[in-house]
Amino acid sequence: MEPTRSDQILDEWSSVARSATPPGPPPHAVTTGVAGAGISLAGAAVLVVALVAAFAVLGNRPSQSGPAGLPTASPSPSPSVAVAIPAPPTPEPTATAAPTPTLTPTPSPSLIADCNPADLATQITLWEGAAGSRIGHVQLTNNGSGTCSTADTWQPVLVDGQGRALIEGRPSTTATRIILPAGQVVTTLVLVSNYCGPVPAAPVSLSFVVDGATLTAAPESATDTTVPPCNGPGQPGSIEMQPWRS
Amino acid sequence: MGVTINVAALEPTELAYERAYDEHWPDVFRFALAWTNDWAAAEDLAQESFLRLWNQRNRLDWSRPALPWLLVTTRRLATDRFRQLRRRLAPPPPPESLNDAVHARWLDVAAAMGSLTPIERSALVMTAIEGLPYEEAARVLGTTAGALRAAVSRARTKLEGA
Repeated sequence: MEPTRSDQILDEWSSVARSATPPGPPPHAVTTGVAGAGISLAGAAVLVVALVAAFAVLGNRPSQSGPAGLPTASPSPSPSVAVAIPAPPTPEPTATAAPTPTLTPTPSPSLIADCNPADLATQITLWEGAAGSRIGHVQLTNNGSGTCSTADTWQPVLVDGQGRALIEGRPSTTATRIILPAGQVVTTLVLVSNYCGPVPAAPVSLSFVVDGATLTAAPESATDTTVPPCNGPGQPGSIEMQPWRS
Repeated sequence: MGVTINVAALEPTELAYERAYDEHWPDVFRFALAWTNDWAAAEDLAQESFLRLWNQRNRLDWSRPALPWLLVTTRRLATDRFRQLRRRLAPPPPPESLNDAVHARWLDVAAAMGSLTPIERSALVMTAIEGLPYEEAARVLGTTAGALRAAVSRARTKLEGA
């Protein structure tokens, strides 16, 4: 019996599709943080690259800007930060019979929402001197009631006590997200250099632009006027941040 | 360079994840390919679905099969993020992973399958090629077995005229 036209097409579809091979090793998000949470070789490699790049950026590059088989029943030590996750998809528009993934009743991937900026608290814990620069140690806490995700780098801005931008960093273009469980604390370093303006109003702090909102970090102290030295009058200041990490 | 990273032994869930990738990547890719009819998009979707699995690995019951979860996740991702791909005017560039001969064959078969809707294509591939029972395929596709049978029937009719 002759195969039908649809059978021929399906045979060819199957033949071609089965020639596909995985593009590489399994994709991993980089995990860091809690004790005991292992980190894969691939993840470690990505982390090394990210750290090298981050240090290279902070050390050398001036900114152009002015201002199935194994049971794990209990929720094991989940990673405190998982990066390189894709953005969550929105719910489907159709209301057909609910799919029943047989694997998990726990929050589906689509339920990891973007963090509400109002739930995120930032604080400068330390200003550190560096050669011609200042490095701000910043802490971010998810004060929300649930897990959420946010970009792993934000646009940093050095601001004075009246909210004026003293040095403005470049907007973040990262596609990398971090997952923040409720109560999770992550930190970053912000490198600021070349401020040649007038003495700023206290307290000097750092603001961050993220997801259309601006978050201003609690200053190290109410009288803080920490600004980097003026290295090049007439030259723009520079401000860069490392990705958030636990 | 002072960066040092301690690479711990793989956790059980990580081993399960690696195994799932080895076993199911082709299945997930073919499902994504059936849904999108776009080779490069299917590769992206498959990778993205496994990233989701990775991120969820500590919350999953690994004693149950991972493939249905992966397929449902893939479908959700496909219906959301890749919706706009179906509207684009320019044909996609040849995926780097395809050689010229296979790419030419793929263009032919993709053109023939292009007359089907994602549901029709996926239903047909899952039942006729992958051999899934109608009930199981319907669960993955978020529909009923009856609707799936109708979709398969429509798909075959369309292909006979392709």
